[in-house]
Amino acid sequence: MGLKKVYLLLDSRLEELDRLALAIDDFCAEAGVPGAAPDFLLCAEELFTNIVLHGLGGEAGHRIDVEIAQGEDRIDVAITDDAPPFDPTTPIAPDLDAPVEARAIGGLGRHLVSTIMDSFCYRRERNRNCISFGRRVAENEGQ
Amino acid sequence: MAVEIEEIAVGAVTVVVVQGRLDGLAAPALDDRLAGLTTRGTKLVLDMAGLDYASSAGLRVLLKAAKQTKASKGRFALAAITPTVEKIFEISGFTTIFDIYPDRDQAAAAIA
Repeated sequence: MGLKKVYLLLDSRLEELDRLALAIDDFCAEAGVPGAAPDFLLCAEELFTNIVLHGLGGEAGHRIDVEIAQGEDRIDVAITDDAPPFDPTTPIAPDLDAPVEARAIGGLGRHLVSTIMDSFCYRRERNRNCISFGRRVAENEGQ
Repeated sequence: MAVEIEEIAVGAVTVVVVQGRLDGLAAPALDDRLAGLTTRGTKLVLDMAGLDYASSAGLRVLLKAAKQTKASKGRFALAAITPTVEKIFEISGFTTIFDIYPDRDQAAAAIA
């Protein structure tokens, strides 16, 4: 597969999830792996939503940069934001066996990302949080 | 609108048909719609055959609905989960905490 990169500038509003979804769907289709789109979309949404709601307290007007990149046999996504420092890769272990009444849902998004992806990294750079995640994609990951 | 919600009565059971994408933007709409049902002891089935995608915001709505239904002595079941959503359920440990049936009619019959 050829190598490709897409940049997306999003505002810190949940309405931007539609654009994020479109960009990832298109990217995976063009990369020849449409079947991989739901995984990448899910992880990007979880992190984007956390940044908007928790990192920025729901405040619109902050720029969130998303870069989607295709490597030899993988796709990686990088998201940067200007929220206070927060490392989402810190391990948390939600209690997956608790009964329905006792289940807490906090941290589930991060659990999904670390389970689905084979890399999940964080660094603080120039006063911005830089989160990246990605995984190998198979050539036959069509649908 | 990313998610479409429709309500159907099947005997004593209320079936809520959810279609589209249940993301962080769409989840509040489903939450609002279910809130009126889950607190009245309703027998409720969520038909998810047309649901292509759900994020943790969507799972949160389902979990809340299950808790509220239980608290109000109602019943709550899920039907016809698509493979994409099932995968997210599995990773989240959700497959064991919900009553899940292959289709709407079986779910309705089970909790009627």
